[in-house]
Amino acid sequence: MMSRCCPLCWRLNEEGSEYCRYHSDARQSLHKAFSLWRDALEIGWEDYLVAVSARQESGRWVCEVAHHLLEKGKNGA
Amino acid sequence: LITTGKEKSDLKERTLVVCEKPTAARRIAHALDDRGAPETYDEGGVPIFIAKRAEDELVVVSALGHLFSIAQDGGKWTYPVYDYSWVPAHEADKRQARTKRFIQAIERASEGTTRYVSACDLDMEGSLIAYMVLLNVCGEDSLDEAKRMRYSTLTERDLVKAWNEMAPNLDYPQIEAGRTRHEVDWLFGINLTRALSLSLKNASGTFKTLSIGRVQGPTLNFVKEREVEIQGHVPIPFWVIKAETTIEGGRIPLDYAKARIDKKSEARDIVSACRGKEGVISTVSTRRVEQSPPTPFNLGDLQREAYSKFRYNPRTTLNAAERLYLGAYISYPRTSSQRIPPSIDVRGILEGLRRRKGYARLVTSLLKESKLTPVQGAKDDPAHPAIHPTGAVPGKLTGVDARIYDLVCRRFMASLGGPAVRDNVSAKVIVDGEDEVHAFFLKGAKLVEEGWIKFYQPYVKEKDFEIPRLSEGQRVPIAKLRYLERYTKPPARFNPGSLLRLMEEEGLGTKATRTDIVDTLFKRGYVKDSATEITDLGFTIVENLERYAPDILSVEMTRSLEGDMGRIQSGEFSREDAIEKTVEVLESTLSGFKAHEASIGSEISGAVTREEERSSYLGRCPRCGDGHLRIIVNKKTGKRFAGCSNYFKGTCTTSYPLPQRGRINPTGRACGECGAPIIRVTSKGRRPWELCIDINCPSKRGGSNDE
Repeated sequence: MMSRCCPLCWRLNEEGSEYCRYHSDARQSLHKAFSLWRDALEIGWEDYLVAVSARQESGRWVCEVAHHLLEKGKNGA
Repeated sequence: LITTGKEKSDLKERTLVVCEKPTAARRIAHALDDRGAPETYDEGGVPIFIAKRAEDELVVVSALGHLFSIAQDGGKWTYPVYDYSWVPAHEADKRQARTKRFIQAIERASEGTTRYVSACDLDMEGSLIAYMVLLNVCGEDSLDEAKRMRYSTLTERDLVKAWNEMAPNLDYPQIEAGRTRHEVDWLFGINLTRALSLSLKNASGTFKTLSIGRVQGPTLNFVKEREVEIQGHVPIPFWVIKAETTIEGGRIPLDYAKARIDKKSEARDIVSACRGKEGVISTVSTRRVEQSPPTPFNLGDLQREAYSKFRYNPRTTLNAAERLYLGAYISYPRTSSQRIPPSIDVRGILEGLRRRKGYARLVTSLLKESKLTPVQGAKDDPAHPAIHPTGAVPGKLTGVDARIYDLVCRRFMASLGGPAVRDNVSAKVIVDGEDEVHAFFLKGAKLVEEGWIKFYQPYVKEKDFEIPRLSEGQRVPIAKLRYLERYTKPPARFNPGSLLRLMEEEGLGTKATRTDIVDTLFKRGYVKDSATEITDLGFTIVENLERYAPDILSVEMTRSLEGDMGRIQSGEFSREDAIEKTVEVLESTLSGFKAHEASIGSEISGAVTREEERSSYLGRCPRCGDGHLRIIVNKKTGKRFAGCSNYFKGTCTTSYPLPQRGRINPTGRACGECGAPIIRVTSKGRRPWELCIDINCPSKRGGSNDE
């Protein structure tokens, strides 16, 4: 099977993931942190992604994944 | 006095004294000459000093750091390379051409000498420099007649003492360890650098020196791992509750007992429950705290403190400290020690410092003490004490040297001071909410005894916040009550000082080499800015090494080699064994590397291109809106300007002139007035300045941007 490139950078995808290892880890962290944000702010998934990507404390990979997930959501993916 | 140096001497013995640098040679010759005025002559641009000491003649010569270095034995610019020899440095590296004259001068000056003294700095490098000079210039027999001077300052007193108490032989374990370190580092450096550089060249046709070594690898890996944490950080919200109270007309901050509240609703409820209420002081406690004086500096501590106080990078601090050492104003700076041994005449040093105007009052107060014992740190160095002033008062020092000298002197004085004593006061304020009781804390501190702090001003910040006398049961108003949203932050990037500390803690490199390693990371473009941010290139290098040569990033491997070096110094391990071990590691690493050279090269080539694109990208074109402004260099004139990427499509001709001097860094920001990109220009010896690249920008009319 051909290896594919991460949609957010030039690296190859991690096995079984649509992202490379760094963006894949960022997505996992985003999922993990969501429950804390939801409890803290009573916030939904999309608002959470928008809020995270607007924070200057957020890492670049985290912002990129958040944007990507939002776009996928808009496109109904 | 200039003489030919060829005059026959009536004196009994001629001794060749080998020093590390010309400045040190001058000081040593002056200190050892009976009249304090040695003869000086010039041998092809190299100063030679003839000192008379009793009935002996001392020919004091200087090296220029290492005069001999390692070079490959024949062969091509490829890898692996395991055959090498020590050769004159000018033969190994054209940039070292000046060293040729020093070798020739020493060769001539050593004619007729029968005894030899190594007077280079007392460390591995110094011992090796003198050994190589004696072995290769004066011949192997000279080593049997060679002695070693041991000193930590270039003051006359210390140098004469070192001469009178010379070690009867060269310090061979140090020399052997130094030689091994050079050879091991050369083997790693040459092979890995060639492997990386050739992978890039073969993949893209581009040549770029991409160095990596056994210390550089793990250090770069630290920076990369930190970047991974930063770029993968998801901030978590939390809230803090702040309030103020007014006592005796003064406003005092109050902190809520729970420092961090995880839910916004909870924070809001607390604030509404306490709003408009009064609090009652339930307890008041005072704790007396003693703060011990700081230890005298070792090199790492000095570099970190200089970064923290003046933002000097480690190289700037080291260079200044070396100049001060060569001027005999401070002791040898490349030391790990935080201790001042009893053999050092502390009172004598202070007497000397008293002559300096700014220190007179402080020193006088110290000299009143019957006993002066500096506080001793945990770290020690068998060769040198902690960095301390010598007591020799410099004339006019300016800039970096003046600041570093002041830091060293004040730290030394502070280490002799008593503890600083503070009373920390904490009062608990209870507010009766509707459903539950809430607690706030009111905190203050009062300096009771200044102790060492007065000697270390202005380098220590006062954290005192005095509060009025409080009593239990006292009622206090709660004002300015609010909850503030906060977010967890990613870890900070390393600065050059914190990176040095980590290297020290992890046992990577030595006090002499760490600064160079950090410098190299910048020079190669692996990291950038003072925040030591890893570049795409640095990141890609680490990723590839992780995959194909993980040993090179391993702290354990480097630490084990450092341990071997230590064991060579104590005679438990041999140079040959260390080299054999190095070759074994390299053989397995390089074979893995070679097998994947093409893919490594293509990844690195991609990173180089991305890095070039990033550093030339200034921002969006304000005229056409969809083009990108990039720095372009005119191939004919060599001048640079900013041009729109749509020029090549024929749709936009926007261009801006750029400053022709200094390094241009894009800031990523656009001018608020005209929308053109703002750049930062960094030139040597100037503060970086920012400007909008449009020379017709309205912001530039009628005054400066700062107005």
